[in-house]
Amino acid sequence: MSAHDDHENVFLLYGEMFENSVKLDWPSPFEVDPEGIFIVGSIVNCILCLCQGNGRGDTTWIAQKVAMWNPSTEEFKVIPNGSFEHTILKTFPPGSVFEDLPVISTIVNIHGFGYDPITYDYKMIQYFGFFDDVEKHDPNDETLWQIYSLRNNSRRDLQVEMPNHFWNNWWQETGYAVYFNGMGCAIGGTVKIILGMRSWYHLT
Amino acid sequence: MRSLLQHPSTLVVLKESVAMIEYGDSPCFFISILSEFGVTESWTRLFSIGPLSSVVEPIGVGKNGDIFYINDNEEVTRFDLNTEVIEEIGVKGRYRCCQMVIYNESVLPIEGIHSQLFS
Repeated sequence: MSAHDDHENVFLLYGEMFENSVKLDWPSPFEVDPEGIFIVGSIVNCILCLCQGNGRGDTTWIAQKVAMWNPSTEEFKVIPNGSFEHTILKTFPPGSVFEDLPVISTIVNIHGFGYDPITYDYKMIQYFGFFDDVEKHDPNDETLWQIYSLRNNSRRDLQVEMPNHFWNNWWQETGYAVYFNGMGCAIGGTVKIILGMRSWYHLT
Repeated sequence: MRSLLQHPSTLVVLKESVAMIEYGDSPCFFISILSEFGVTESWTRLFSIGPLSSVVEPIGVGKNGDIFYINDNEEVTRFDLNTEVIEEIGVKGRYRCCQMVIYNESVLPIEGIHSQLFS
């Protein structure tokens, strides 16, 4: 299966030599404007996690659409962006570097998608970056990681300190994570991190 | 490990291992596997593939250990690890804009698969 944004299409390729090709219809939330859609990491239990948008925004709104999708049944489930204003305020309490900014320019990267075999729950790991200077290309050193649970339809903060070396010019690259035996593996920049659905490891 | 990280790389699951494909300056792919989670030293560079002509970017792996990449004609190309046969599969793919993932059909719902499988 492949997706590429010059035609903004997704194809199912099959056969001994992948000689058969079927163009699939995107699920309806992505049909209207099918640009820049990428598949987050691996397919898990035959479910794809799709992400669209560059993830830029502020404390109240993020340009990002995420959905789980089963192409066989055409079932999809949109993952709400959620409210993260309180989370950001917790990360940057009064007196912090962002205090003087009217809005906090934010970016969200979906890093991994996986299945927790203990709680039978799909989970998604995302990373927040913040820009305290619009002139600067790179985000602030402060990072915030969250894990989303489909079962609870909620996010919780991950109490980890991981560097934001993930940042790069290619936001699509943040979807290049793999799922493996209950672990989510994320990659980026000069740092490799394996994010387990239940624990995490940091490889430098 | 430091030397492993000097090139662009992508993580894949290759033959039931977490593997890293490095690419970049040279016309070769370097394949490393992680044998133990959380142990940096357990990254082992296993082998290299190539030199291949006109590799631009690996985009995914197949079930049988095929490695798919984009070549400089923007053609999705398959390298068969077992036979070392290289062929374009007849699909166009732009640099940085193409992904390939393994898909199995399933009619199971997104939620509640545990109760369906084990009840």
